[in-house]
Amino acid sequence: MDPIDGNGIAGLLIDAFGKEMTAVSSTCATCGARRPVAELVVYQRAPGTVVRCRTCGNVVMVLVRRGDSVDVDLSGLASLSNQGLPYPTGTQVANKEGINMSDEQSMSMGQPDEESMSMGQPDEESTSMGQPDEGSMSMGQPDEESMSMGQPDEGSMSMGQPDKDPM
Amino acid sequence: MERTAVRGRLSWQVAAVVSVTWETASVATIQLDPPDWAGHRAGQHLDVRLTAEDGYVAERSYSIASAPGEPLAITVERLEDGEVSPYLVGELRAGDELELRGPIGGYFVWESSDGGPLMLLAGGSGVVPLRSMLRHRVNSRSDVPARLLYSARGWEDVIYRDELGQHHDGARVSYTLTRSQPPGWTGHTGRINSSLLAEVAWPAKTNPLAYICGPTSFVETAAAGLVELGYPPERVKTERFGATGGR
Repeated sequence: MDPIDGNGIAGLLIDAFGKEMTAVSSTCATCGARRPVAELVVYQRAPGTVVRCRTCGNVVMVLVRRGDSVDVDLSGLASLSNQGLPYPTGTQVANKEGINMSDEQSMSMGQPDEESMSMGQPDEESTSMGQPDEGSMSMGQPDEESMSMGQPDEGSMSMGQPDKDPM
Repeated sequence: MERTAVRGRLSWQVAAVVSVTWETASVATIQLDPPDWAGHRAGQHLDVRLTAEDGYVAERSYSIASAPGEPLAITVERLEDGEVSPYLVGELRAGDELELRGPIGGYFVWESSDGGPLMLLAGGSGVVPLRSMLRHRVNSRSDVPARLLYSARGWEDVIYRDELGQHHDGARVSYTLTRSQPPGWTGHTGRINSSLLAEVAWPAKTNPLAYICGPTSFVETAAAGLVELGYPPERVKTERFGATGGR
């Protein structure tokens, strides 16, 4: 299946984040390219949805629906923000190590921050990324049970791996 | 216009199919009557969910074809190897029911207050959300001038052909036919490229707002071409669909 773009998974993103996300600006943790989520490259193949950077091709998000909920791996993203330039610049400073979700120093993912969106901003029932909080997906804290957030996961379904083999 | 449903939930609902109208040999417009529709913005889409008897579920996203305030409709191209579109375009009939949710999407949307001039670029069925924008422009009595460049394989593949021919007042529609042209065709031919864009698109100095929708290769060429002409990237909004995806 040919890739589509982030516009086409707006509904899935609402399931995952609790709000409209396609107009939100994303920053790739690998190359630093910044663009609206709508402009990211999306591969829809079972069992999950793989989202890649349009500049460097690295995986920035993996979403897997599990019943009524969605597991999200954002380890390829440096940030999501509803501030700033909503278009590709390719000139942002890259986080060379790739973002480590457990690193409190890293760009806005683990820390409440004026600019970051639901990540780190208390937000009623949404996924409360960055707000360490017992039950939730806990982006700010590695959590054995949650799905490979912040921790590249070699074994799982090979969704984080570049996949040359279209289904 | 924020959706008023419970935050974090976009509820599925069962809509009645009001009508199915063929636009071309492989494209149909499906008018729907969902019980709970918050109203949409031009360019948004909705998700359709089909559940097979064995429980297999397929979901696709389709652009909304109707303008805000009009009865809800989607226009779908039948893709022979698709999971969902052959059902929607071919089997679905007026009086059937269809599970859907929406409206969805906050990026590829245009409201008359966003201004323009509007530069719309459509590849194939990518014209669907742009048609919603053009209708919204007319319905809202917007004085924003608009141009649509529509790339289709042949004249018989042009969706909304009659309707697009009626946009006169401040809107101009041009076509490029990539594979076949009817006898006496005086419009453009071949795939879009820089020189066609330079000829058809608003000059960058008019500060246009561009929306491009179509297959990925079309969108990439069109977006790069507009930026080359001096359009600021943040005023070039794009939406891509794959060969077997929805929309």
